Amino acid sequence: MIAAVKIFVKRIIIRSLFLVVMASAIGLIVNAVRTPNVDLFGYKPPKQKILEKAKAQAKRQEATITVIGLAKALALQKGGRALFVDARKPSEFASGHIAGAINIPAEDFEAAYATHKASLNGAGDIIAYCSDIECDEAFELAESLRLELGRTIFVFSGGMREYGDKGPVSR
Amino acid sequence: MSKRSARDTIKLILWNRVVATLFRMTVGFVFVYACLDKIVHPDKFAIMVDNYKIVPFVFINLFAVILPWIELVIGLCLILGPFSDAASAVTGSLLVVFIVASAAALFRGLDIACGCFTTTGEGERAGLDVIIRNTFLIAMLGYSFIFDLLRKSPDRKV
Repeated sequence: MIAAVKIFVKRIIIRSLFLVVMASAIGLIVNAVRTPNVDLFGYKPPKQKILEKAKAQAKRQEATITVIGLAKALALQKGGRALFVDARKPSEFASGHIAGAINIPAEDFEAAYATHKASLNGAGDIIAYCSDIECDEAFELAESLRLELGRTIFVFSGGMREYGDKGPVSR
Repeated sequence: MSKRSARDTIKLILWNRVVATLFRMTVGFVFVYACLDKIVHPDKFAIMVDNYKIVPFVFINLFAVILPWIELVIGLCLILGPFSDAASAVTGSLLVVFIVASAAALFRGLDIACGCFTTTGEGERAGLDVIIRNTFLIAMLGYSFIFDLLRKSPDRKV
């Protein structure tokens, strides 16, 4: 009788472990493939999340938009860590832009920003520009980038007209 | 009707396979229903788990990811039948854990959502209601488990 009970208990334990392990494995696999997934050992209580949000907001408020001229723009370009961001339409960008620049049209910010997010995060100085001193797109773009990235954005106000052939141009 | 046959009739009504299966399936459905919102929103469920102040921070997300799937698997086993003995054991253990967690919340005066069926934080509070319901579920599960156990035993009594 005791032997039978032992066998029964053993069988229940083994089967229970099987169910728990199988369910856990399914849960972990589903979590691994889903987006966004949960960081298994990185739980942050809501208070900490709010604090981080507030810090990010404060950082955004500290960030400014700084207008620079051609000399400063060329100096930053020479430094090698600057990323020029062209705020004009893709057709204007294709007709000629500062070498190495990326195109984030101010009027289609969301989609273009998502495409270039990685390069923007890794960039040293970010310099927005448009066609000339009369255009507003560079400022619109700079404001959007400042809010998204929480860092100071430079605006090369002279744009492509002032830049001309004083530096390398790509087409 | 003699005394003996009346007793047999009552026994037949209270102690039969249909009731055992119905109890087991009811608990299974409760567990399947309970896991759905938690599977969809593990991050919100993690906050529910955190509210109990029992699980260490480092394990909260892991717990919140795994537990709903355990609920789903054992719930399905209880509904469909295979591994129902082991599923009953795991379910019973979980219900005891839930009772202890609710009792601890009640004892410490925590006014928190129980996180039993939803992750919105506005549902049922952890407390006496949860303890009573889970006790009923354990009783139902115990009934079906013992019934199945006796039915399958070599010197069967049912």
